[in-house]
Amino acid sequence: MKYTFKILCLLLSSYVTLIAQENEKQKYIILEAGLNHQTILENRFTTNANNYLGFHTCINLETVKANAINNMAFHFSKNILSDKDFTYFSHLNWSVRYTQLRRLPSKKWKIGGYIDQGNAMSFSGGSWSDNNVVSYTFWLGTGVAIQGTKTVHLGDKDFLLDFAGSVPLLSYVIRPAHAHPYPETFLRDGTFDFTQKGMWKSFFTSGKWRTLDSFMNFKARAGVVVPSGKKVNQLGIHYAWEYLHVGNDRPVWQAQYRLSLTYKISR
Amino acid sequence: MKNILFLFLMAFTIVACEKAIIPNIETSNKSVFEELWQHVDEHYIYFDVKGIDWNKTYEEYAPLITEELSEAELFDVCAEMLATLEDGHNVLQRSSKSSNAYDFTTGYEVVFDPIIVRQNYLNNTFEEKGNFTYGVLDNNIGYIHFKDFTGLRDMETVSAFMLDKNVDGLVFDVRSNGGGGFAERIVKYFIQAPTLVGYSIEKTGKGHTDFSENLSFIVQPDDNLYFDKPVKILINRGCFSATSYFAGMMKYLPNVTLVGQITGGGGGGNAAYQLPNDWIVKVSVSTFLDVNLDDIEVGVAPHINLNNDPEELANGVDEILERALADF
Repeated sequence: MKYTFKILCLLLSSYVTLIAQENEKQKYIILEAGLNHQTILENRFTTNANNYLGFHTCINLETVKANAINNMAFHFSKNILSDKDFTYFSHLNWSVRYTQLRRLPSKKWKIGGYIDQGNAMSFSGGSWSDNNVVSYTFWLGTGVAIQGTKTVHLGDKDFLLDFAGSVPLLSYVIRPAHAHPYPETFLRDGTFDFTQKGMWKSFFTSGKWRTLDSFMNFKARAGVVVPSGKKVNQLGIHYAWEYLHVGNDRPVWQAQYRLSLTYKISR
Repeated sequence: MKNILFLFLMAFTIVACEKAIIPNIETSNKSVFEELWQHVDEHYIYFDVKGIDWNKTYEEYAPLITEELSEAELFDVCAEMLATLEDGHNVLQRSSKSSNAYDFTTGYEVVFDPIIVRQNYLNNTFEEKGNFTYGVLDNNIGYIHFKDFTGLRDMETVSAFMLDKNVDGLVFDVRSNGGGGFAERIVKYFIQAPTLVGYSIEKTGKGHTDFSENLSFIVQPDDNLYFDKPVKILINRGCFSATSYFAGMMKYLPNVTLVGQITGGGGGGNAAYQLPNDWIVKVSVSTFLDVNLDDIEVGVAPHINLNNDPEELANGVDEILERALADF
């Protein structure tokens, strides 16, 4: 039953992705940079939810068609926590996501699907010198996405308000083994190769298929682009909230919100 | 317009949501103690090897925890509980300057003075490179004292020195070497072919017996240097961690004899964890067995078991070294 549900999720997200394809197009590059605040509970290192501050950047390659939008986004963020007496954590997030959206009849909303590959990586340091200094959540996933826009008139200018959200349906998630950073299958190879040759093969075969109940990677974003009028290049400000949760015997919770400036350039 | 405003409102409201959806642990004395006990329960690897009833330990220490305890008092009780595991890799830290670890030499007398060897056996003719002190003893026997398992690359220089001197045997003195890492990087100079030197075992789950299978640990020989003469490795209870690994890996090589005291163990690879009050606890989550499947955590026993007499050492006599030399 669980297997059938996973197949259905995969088909559904593939379908909503495929129906979004169209022919006529305009191309954009959207640059994004800003501040990041994260609250992370990485249970392989700590029982506490620690707050991090850092930066993030994102490059979007977007193609807008009559009734569809294709977007390829490359995202990177880094956050550091070292405000305690002898603890130090740093955290990296990066992802590549391809999204296809189809305009609904109302024209204000678009719905579609995405596939993405991401990594949330935590490092401990300082007095922590030990055999477990890195933890990671690596995923390859697919899910549904929605985007809405609304033009508002303030004075003699038009502003474009936008909202976007996405949620995964099915993901292949790789986490380290119980107490060491090694991937699980590395510990089933019969040989402990301290040179770590062959680690990548073990890494990629150590993942588990997860649905929404055990891997949540919810993203919501709202912003305003000024002015939206007829100018080709547009400046905007956006606020995003993301929530990542991996449930296993060493769960991870990560809530992230960020404020960023965006600049949309016509290609 | 109302829809958009609603979405904005929802998005900004969600900012505070992590407090509701990310678990928040109390920092009471009780919760710190409980978290410590639980973490050790789910991660420590040696309960079976050491025959420890961790539930019984809980029953013994839990009644001592009250909210009236000061931080220092709580630390003392928790550190004492952790020390019942008798593992030098288990550490409880409450600040960068305050930590507590089990003394692995407890119950043993460690009698060693490297100066005696330099003065009375090397006749003050020796060289130093990093953590290595080396020279040639009487009867053309090479001597290497390695005080810390770091700076392993210098071993190449030391090995080349021994080959250049064409020594007839080697005393490799790792007494009171508290460890470091990568013992296999020394072992590789004493093997001629890929050699199984032991097995690594990792904790793979929360249960006390959730272990990986025995993972073969195979060392590749060095490309250029190979020392095939008789080797005596001097050990004592002050040998810990990587030094015990080294002794355990070398013990069953055909040309090697271990002389001295049983080592201090330290077979566990430890992992750190932050407790609710920001203290850090480290416990052993993996172990190492020699090729005879003996766990080095309990110490690597020598082939020739003896200790120095403090009075004799004060008179300049290192009995362990002399016994090793007599065995060539």
